Amino acid sequence: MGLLPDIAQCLFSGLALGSIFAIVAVGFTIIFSSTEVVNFAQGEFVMLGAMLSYCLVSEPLKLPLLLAVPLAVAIALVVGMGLGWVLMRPLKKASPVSLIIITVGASMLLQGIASHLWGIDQVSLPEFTPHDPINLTLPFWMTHNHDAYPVTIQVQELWVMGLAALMVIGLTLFFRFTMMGKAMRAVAANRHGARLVGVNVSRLVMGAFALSAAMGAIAGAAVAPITSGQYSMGTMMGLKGFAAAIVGGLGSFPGSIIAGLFLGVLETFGARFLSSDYKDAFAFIILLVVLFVSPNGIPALLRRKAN
Amino acid sequence: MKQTPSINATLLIAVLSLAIILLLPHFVHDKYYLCVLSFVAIYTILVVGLNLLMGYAGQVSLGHAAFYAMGAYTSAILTTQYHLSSWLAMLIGVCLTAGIAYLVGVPCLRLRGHYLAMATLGFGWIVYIVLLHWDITGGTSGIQGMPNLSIGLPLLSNQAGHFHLAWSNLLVFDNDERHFYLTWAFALVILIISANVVSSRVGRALRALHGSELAAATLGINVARYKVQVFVLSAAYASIAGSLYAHTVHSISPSLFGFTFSVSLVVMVVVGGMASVWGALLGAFSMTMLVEWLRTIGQSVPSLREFDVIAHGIILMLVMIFMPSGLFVTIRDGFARLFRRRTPQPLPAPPAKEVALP
Amino acid sequence: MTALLEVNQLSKIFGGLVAVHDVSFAVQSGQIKALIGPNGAGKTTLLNMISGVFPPTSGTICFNDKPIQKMATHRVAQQGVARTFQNVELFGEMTVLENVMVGRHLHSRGGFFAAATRLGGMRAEEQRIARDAMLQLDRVGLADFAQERAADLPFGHQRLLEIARALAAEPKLLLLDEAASGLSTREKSDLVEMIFKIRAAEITVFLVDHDMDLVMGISDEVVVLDHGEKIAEGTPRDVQQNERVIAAYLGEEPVDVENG
Repeated sequence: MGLLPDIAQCLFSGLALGSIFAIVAVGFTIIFSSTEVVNFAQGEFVMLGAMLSYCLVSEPLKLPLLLAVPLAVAIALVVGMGLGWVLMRPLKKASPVSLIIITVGASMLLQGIASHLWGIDQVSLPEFTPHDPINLTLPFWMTHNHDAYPVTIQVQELWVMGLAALMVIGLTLFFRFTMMGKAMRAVAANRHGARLVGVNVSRLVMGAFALSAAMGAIAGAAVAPITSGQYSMGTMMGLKGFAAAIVGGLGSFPGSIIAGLFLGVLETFGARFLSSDYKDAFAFIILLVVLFVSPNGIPALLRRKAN
Repeated sequence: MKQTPSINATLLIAVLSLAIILLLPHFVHDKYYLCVLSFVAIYTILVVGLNLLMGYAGQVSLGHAAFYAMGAYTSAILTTQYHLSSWLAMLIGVCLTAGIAYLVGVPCLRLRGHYLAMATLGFGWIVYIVLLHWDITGGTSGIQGMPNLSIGLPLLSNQAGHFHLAWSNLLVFDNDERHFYLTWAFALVILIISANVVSSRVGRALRALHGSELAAATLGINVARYKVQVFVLSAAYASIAGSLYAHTVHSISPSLFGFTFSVSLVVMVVVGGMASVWGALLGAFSMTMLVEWLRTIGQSVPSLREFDVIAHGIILMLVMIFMPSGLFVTIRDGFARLFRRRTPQPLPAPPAKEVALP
Repeated sequence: MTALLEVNQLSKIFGGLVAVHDVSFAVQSGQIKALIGPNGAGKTTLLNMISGVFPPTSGTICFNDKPIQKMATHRVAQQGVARTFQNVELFGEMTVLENVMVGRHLHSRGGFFAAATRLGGMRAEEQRIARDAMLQLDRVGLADFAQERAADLPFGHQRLLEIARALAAEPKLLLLDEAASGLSTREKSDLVEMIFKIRAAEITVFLVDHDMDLVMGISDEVVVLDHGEKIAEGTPRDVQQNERVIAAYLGEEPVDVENG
């Protein structure tokens, strides 16, 4: 009972969901900044993280989760590099639309292989640290209600948000202090110039794909215990993550994160207060609105208003 | 060397196609295959429109199934719940779909490349989600019981003392053979119309804006308007295809109109050839046959289930990487080049040289 | 008499970069006028604004007494402005003839409906368009290449094709953006002849180029741009002797004051 606990619950779950969108969006951004390609198969890395983890903890391998997840991420990373390698040749001369279609093909391929290997049913993954959900009752001075429902926090949600935060910190350090990170920033700012000063673009492309794939896979393995895994889970994740990347401004690292969190919260609130049937549509509606009003994202819109 | 199909070539192909279509049912005895071929006709209509949009105008749509759905659902709802004539329902469907395509197209087509792809994608998904949850569209179970299309003559009938207009059914399209002829009649007309458009001033303008929007605009071509017009036309085609589907299969549900289908359409365009009207027919035919074949194999070899999705993915990637102008077009051009090389080219006259005198 | 083209206090700012600042000049009908300046002076930006590719940040452009600075590209073309491009923008996949036929777009009829149904005398219209296009190809000497794929043409011919295509639109003003760059000496003299022929056909020519000999040889008047600002305007002789012009070009291409 009580509105505030409801809002608090939505906020919390929304941030957890939004963390996943943010990670996918960041993955898009990294690849787009380095290669100008919109990687349609981004969501499939999330799916691979989840499904590979499931595969490794099940028969016949039955690996412990601690081994399975990193291994799954490693395999997804290799798949990501493979995709980057496939795109090398067309990158030079194909139109942006052709490149999108190629990544759409890759997405279909990965989904097809997944449904082939692991079937079409939902599969459940064990939580990282099995624990009862934490019930947090908000203090009386907030709710003014002695019978207010508690806010339920699943420990796995904390894992999701924690890992996402760690990845963001890791990425910031990566861009600041490593050669490859700096090279990626250089290419994002000025592609041609970067090549002229000797940046090895092909190694960069592989690196960008590897990074995005790994991050997506970690996110997938983390969220699967909550949402369960399925061969088709990548599509929605990818699309909503893409919507977040666009809203935040394609190519903007902080924009992707904020937009991702925002969309997660929006969807959760929308599902709770507006309509749970149409919850998937919210992200797309926002995407279309932003594309029509300011295709370069909200930050660009704000900058224009400021001028 | 790409050339627009001349008027005579179009006529020839049209007549040949007509002959094949008229004779085919006599040779194909298995009704199932007639059904499959009817689907090929419906998909051809879809693919021709998408081909005009993607191959000629160079725009992309990853959500074309939405327009297909609009035609199908409008026909279904108007005929089952409001008991309108099927032809009228189809017309209303086309107008409605064209109108929505116009509203969506104007802002969308201002976007470039990947933004447009994603906008159409998002639009397709929104329509799909609405179909799943709106009570008017029947949710996941969809709508059933659409009547067959029929041609009739109007006549006054006297019922219970007063006159009213009725239709006498001259020809009801109610069996597989008739479905085959009906769908192919539509497909052929649309193919011919599209071939005409392509080899005209409009077609040149479209190919021009695909080649260089900048140059086209400086020659007076209203790029934005043409893009929207092609988009609306392709949506109208999709709507017709949807209505035909509704009246031949009599049952529709949202699962037919999802993102996977939009992608299959793109694969058909890509396989058939990006800038070839008759290529659309080839693309629709070959991909439908491939899927059928895979399904047949999948039934006997269970380890190959879901292979059609894998096949779509692989084909899409391979063709776009190695043959970006489309499979059949690349093959056709390859043959053309082979034959051209056979005829000896006249050598250019050597430049006049100063002869060194000893 | 009012000029065919009047550019008044034109400026263009990209983000923080001032590409063109407060430029004014006029082109009289029947003139051959040139726009020169060192690299990055803002010449192509100016041409882009005149042809309607993007609007100026401030200032006006009047063509035939009509303000065109806010018009969309295709509307500017409708007014009678045609152009060629520094990086050739041909319709590569179409044949040479088809490229020029697109040039006839403004002077032909037929929309979707007519095309689809082949009504309204479409066949005659198509023949007319093809015939007019062939005429233009004859004019530039490319008639033999009519059925070749445009992208297959040698570079010099591609430049000619662009000109033929622009002429097919029957413009009053032809903008030539670096039409001579990349051409051989022989091709350049052919180009000069062609420009004179174009002027004889009562088409005003406004050209941007780097080749001083070419520019000084054919222009009636020259406008000089440097760092986005106009630094001189006048006859070729006047401009060559202008101190600011010499200073701007010092180290680039030495201008032979004596022989022009």
